[in-house]
Amino acid sequence: MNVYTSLPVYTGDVSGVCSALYELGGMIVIHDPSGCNSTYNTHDEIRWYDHPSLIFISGLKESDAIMGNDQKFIDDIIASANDLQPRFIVLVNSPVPYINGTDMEAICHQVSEKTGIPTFYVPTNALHDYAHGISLAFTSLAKAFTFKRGEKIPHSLNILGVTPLDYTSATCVSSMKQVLSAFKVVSVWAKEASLEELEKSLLAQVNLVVSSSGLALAKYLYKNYGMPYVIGVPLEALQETITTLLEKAIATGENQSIINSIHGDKKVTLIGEPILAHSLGTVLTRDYALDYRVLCDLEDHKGLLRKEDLACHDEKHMQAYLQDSPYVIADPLYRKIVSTKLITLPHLAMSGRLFLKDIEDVITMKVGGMCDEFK
Amino acid sequence: MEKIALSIGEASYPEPFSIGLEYNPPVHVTWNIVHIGMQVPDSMQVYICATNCMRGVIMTAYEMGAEDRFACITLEESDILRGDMEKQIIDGVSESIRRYDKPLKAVIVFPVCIHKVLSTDLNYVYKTLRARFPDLIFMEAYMDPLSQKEGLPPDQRLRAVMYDGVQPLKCDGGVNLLGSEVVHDRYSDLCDLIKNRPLRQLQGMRYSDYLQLGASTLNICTYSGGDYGIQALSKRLNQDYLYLSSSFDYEEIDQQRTLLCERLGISAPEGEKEACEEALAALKGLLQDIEIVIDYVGITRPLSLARLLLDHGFHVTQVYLDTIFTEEKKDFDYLQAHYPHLTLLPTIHSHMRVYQNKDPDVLAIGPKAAYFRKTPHFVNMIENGGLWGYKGILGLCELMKEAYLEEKDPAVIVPRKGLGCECVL
Repeated sequence: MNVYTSLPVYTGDVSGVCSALYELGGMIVIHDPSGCNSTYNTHDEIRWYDHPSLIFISGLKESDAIMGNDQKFIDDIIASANDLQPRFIVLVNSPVPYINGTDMEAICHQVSEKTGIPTFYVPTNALHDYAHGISLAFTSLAKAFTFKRGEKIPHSLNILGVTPLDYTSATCVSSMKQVLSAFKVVSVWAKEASLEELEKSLLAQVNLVVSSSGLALAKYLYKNYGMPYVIGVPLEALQETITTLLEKAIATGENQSIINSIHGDKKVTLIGEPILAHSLGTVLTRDYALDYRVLCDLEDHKGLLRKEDLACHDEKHMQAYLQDSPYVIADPLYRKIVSTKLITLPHLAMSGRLFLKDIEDVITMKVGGMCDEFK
Repeated sequence: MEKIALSIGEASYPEPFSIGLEYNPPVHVTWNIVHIGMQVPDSMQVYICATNCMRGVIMTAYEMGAEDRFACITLEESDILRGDMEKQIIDGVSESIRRYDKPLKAVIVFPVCIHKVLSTDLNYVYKTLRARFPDLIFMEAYMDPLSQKEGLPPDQRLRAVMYDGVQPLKCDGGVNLLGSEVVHDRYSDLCDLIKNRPLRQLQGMRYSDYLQLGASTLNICTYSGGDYGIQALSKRLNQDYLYLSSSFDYEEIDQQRTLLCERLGISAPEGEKEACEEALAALKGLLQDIEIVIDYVGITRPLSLARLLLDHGFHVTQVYLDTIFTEEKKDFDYLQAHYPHLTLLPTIHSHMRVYQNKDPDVLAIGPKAAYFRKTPHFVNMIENGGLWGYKGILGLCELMKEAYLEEKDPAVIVPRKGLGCECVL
């Protein structure tokens, strides 16, 4: 249990799944009475108005939940799927069917059998954050896939962990590709990418993990297919660094990371998604001689924080941690717990559409411009 | 593919559509429980739920600039399994109150579906909280959409408990107009008819004004979603109650005006029927045969309005609704008999996700109709927008004229939450 009186919660896991799979031509069904879809498409999905995606809720009723009537759910999915003919079907869970122990895997099996459409379950329960949901979505999709096999494409990579929740600007993907122009980008999980492109992922030599949401998939592909990965964001200012790490990973088959072992410093604290925070911090260290530390209140941070960094959900604890940091780089909503200088970096998964107009392309953003204060 | 649009002639009452999986269109102008609860002065809201469920309500509070009056208690798996949910709620709500630094009279507590499924002892929770904070009023709300199709939806329950701070006062003959999120003023006959008595509406009240609701003799509700709550208030305070439906039918309007005037002890003045006829004729002259579509979000009696407009020669083609309300049965029967080709369309059916009917030459009355037809000509309104009676018809004619003459972008307007509420976007 956690009490929040100064901060909102991050986007939830169910929304994370929807965001991750939005553009792939599937039908996503949230087994939920109401609200999940509205919350997601109001605050966390900037594509909803203009780019249709087949995301629905089951409209679960109390009597069906209590009596265990899964048949209506199954029939409704089949009816819509037969009419709308999605590429695949994904079932997503919410608290009540999670507590009831609804057998979602069995339902997937039945739906798949009746429709002939690949159907799989992403085991959310609405109790986790978006990054966790995206991780589950990507790994579930990868497990459900039959990947295309063949010769590796020379100097090629996949980018893992791209959704509008972390990379909101419409130009982010093209900017990443521009920075990585020395490589062939086989797939981007999962923005401006097709299912066919994702199915070719094994043809790439290396994976580039640009958010914590992509790390579980990277580990899965490393473990099962021996693909090495690099952790880091291809910021324009980090082109050379990221290129070097990618080439090293391709050459050695060993995983690489932008997160270095240099001790952090409290002068600048970056709050938010840890891989982006470390990437920005790396620029600060290299170009401005400013060591940094990371405060992460997302769940999936294992291996992404150093000992000076902090993983924390408790806003009182966070407030105390930030007190001795003269500069904080974070979403504007952190203002309430920051008593020192806050340099704002809006994050859709935190502040939703409140500062949408102010969100820049973080790949091409002048990190130095953000740090004029430090000069 | 299943046929989605029905002619009213072939539709059945009250559920014309078989709705399975549900789509949520990007139209968010209606008020949700956060907006509604914020109308209680000097109150805070505390929600106890899963992160994903919390996100929608907390961001609503932020978008209306009221996050300071909001607290979240998020749950994890271990919290659900631990078996002490009552203690967790009590501790979480207590901590939220301790951190609150504004004047506070009432705490609106929102447990959720999880607590229902776990059979959390909420009586014990409230008893303990009331003993711990005797100066505060604890309002027993619920965010349990699980029950909304077979019981009381969360908004209707909230409209009942949000007056728990009001106690009977010495009667001053006032009238409370409650149960809806819109203000009645120049486009409502009710304001004219009640002009000699204090007329109390909830919006923008201070706590002292809120308490004064207990001095009124009569409660009026014009919105079916508020009927349960205002009836409950009336019963508790022993106040008279009237449900005055927002009809567009002259005869029904007259009947309701007469009913109200009897309760007020005044003779019913003549309604502005002739003015309405003139306004409708002038509007028809302007619009000619332009296609008109109506939705249930903007208009609480969409079939009643369709009937009025069709009877006056307007080219109404579509009504967007998911169910036909009981109070619309007569209008439904009339339209079936006289205008069987009028089309009914659902708003939440999964096929509406791919329904495309872009047409800038349509006049939409209501935000969902505007979205589905992607028209820049629309009346943006919820819950009838305070239109009631003859003045309501006159007001609607003005709004339709304005919508016809001036374009606005639905993509910018209809995704905004809580029309008429504070919005910081």
